[in-house]
Amino acid sequence: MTQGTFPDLPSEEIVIILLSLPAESLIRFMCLSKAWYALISSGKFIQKHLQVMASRDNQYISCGPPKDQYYGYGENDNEIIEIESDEDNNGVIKIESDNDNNVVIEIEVDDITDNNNEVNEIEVDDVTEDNTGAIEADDDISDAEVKMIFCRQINKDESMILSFDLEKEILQQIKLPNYDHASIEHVENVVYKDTLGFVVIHPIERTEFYSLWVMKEYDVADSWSKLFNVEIVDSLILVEAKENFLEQGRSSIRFYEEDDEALPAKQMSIVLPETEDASMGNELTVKGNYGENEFFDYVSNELIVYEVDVDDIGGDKNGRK
Amino acid sequence: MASKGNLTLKSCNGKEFIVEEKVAVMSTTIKNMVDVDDSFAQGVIPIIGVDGKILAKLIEYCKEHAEADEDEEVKSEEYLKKFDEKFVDELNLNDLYDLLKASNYLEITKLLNLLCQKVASMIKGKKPEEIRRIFNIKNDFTPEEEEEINRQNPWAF
Repeated sequence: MTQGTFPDLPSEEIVIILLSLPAESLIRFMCLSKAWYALISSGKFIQKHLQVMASRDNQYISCGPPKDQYYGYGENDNEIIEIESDEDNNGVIKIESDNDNNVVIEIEVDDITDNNNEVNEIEVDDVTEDNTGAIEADDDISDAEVKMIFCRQINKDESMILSFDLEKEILQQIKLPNYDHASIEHVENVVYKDTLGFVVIHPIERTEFYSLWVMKEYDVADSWSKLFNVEIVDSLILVEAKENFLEQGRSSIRFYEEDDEALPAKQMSIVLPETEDASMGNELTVKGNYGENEFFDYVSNELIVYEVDVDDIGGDKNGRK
Repeated sequence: MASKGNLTLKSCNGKEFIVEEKVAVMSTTIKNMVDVDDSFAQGVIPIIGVDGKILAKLIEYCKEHAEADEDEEVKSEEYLKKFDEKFVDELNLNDLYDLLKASNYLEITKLLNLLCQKVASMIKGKKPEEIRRIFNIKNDFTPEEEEEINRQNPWAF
């Protein structure tokens, strides 16, 4: 079977075949030829591939940027957690341990299959004692687009995150990328282009240094890759004078791709806006664009990068995935 | 739309197949032809570039799936899954290749996806050189360029 060849398969069919391959194989096939390299590394292809992967199996989380929505939490073992799904949700679920090592679950369910707003429930077993405990999700959640949930465990091994697979209903640990844990101030779960990711914050003197890591293939620890570095230049405003930020006025964010520092074209720097709205307090909100159709929001300490279709540019939030 | 009668499909080497319309319209291409022009429903529909052997295979696949769409009890999802598995496993590489092209031309989306997944599972673990041979791809990178690309993602190798 493997001896034959497909000498002149039309490119259309090759694209469909490649879309069903795992990311690992695609990366390996980038070196085949310039045409394959261009195809596999194109934004359109990557986006399509993630859609295919998200709609199939349970390799990826299907979701958008995380939001601060808390629907319930378990303070004790076996506590029932109520989860609402409403139309604003976009499929983000997070579990987090609080300081007492209890598990807190935040859930947003994007139930595309039917539009009912039923309350979904997740029963939390004793997941704090060992990580193999099960969470029983009811059918409503299993049917939804969300396939897994993840968290980083506080007070536990910082190099691991806990993930819960909603289809198989098992908890598992996933290894975090091999960054220098000692120098890290804060790690934030993010979802970047439908992929599980982390923003890692390294405080360096007066500069806050962020890097965005994503796991290119779900559950393959070796596939962690650092995508971007983000630097808040001149950040005495943030670090030392939070309250006075608005009066202090301007700062700027530098945003550049890893391994790409030599290319000024790829680097962007924006000036943070001045605002007269005192009610915003010390919250910093910045929107900007990076590249042709990638946008980011920087809200307080959270950086969200997202991609919009070219047609949507100017449409603001509509393009957000 | 034409009556729910039978359609006659003719392969490029002259073989004719009489199939139920519900089976034939699994192909979006054929469905469009029949929808637009009733005369196709009465006459013979030529299937260009597809020989009798491949056409028979296509019809076998469409028949099972059309029947399953109509009556889920007789042909359950599980039954279909098993059928699909057996269907692709029995194909040799030439047939697989011909079926891929034919199902794309005839827009039989389900089958196309099935076949593409089969090819994907065949090639996913293979080395770049093997893929180049299978798809007859000429490496137009210099060794340095290739090295550079591989260096960026060492985890995939």
